[in-house]
Amino acid sequence: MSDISKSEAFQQSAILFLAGEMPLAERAAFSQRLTTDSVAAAEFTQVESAWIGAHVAIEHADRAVSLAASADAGARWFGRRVAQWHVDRLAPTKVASPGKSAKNLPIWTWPLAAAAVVVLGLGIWTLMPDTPGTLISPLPGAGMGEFPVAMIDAREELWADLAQTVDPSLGLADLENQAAALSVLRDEPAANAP
Amino acid sequence: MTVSKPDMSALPNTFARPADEVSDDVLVNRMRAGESAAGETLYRRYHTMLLRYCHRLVGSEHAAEEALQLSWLSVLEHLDRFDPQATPGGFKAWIFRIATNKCNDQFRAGGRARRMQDGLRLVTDQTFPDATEPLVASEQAQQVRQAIESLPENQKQVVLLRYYSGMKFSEIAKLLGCPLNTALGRMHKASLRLKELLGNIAGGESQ
Repeated sequence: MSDISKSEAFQQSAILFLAGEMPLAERAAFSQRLTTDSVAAAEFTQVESAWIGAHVAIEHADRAVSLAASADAGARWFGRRVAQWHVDRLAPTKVASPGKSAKNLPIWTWPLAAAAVVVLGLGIWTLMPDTPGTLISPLPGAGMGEFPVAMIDAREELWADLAQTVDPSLGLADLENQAAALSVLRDEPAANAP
Repeated sequence: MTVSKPDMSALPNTFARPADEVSDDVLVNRMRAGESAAGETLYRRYHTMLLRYCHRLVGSEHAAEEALQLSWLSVLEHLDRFDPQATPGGFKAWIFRIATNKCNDQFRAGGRARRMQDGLRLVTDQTFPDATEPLVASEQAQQVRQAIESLPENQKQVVLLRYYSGMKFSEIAKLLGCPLNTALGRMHKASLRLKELLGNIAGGESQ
């Protein structure tokens, strides 16, 4: 240990000794050292002098300044605060209204809910069975299911006529020929009309 | 200066308390139960030493009163969580720790104002006493105040805590979050500096 460190350690011990916070055994040994070691005794006197000087200085400064704040007024103020604090603690806690909970949902749940709706819709759409014989509208720009009602009725009527007149033993080519002939016969009066 | 008896443990004792008074822990428990009189007793018990302590730390009476008031409000705010058994030094160490923090806040907040004041002093080349405080009676007293104020903050805190709270150095070290030897070293350095600055006053008074 260097001389400086030794000196600092001694000064710290001296402060503890002066403050009365040194354990009894150490205190006795320290006192013994002061009586036998003249160098230590001289250093201790310096520490002691500084210790007393600091206390005297603060005491002197306090005597010169009288603080105006009243302890009684302050105590009454604090007493009122204690009472109010106690009342606040005993007050029943407010129960949150049930309608408020929905509003308190985190902001990220809203886009999540929208995405879930889209995914669910796509799922339902892909699971739907394809409709056989779905008609495609011949009208420009029209989608499925947008045939004019009159055209659908005419086609159904045509199939009904075919069913009555056609021999079930005929092949597909014969059926198509008959249908074409029937269609020409039905459309002729309309085509020749003025 | 020569002092014949080395036992100076009872030196300051300006704020010594009678042994038969109700303990802080009992008063704290009563205060928790809503007894405002217990709070008033605690307040009176620590008023002077806390006000003096804050005054020395922040340097103005007005700021010290404000720091003191905020400290007591903070006590109420955290009273439910305060455990005297887990706090070395008990309620006293706790309230002094709170006051130290409040004073540090005030000190930081007042830094700008102080710099402006210092600038004004440079311009006027004159210093006048604070109008909110009583006129300092003697030049010596003003010297003492300036000497204490000129101490580094960490040294000042140790000296003032020891003087006003009377806490043990081990408790002060825990309060300030430093090793015991550091607290003792700061105390010694501060004492030496004060002695150096105020040698004649200390010598004259302690005879």
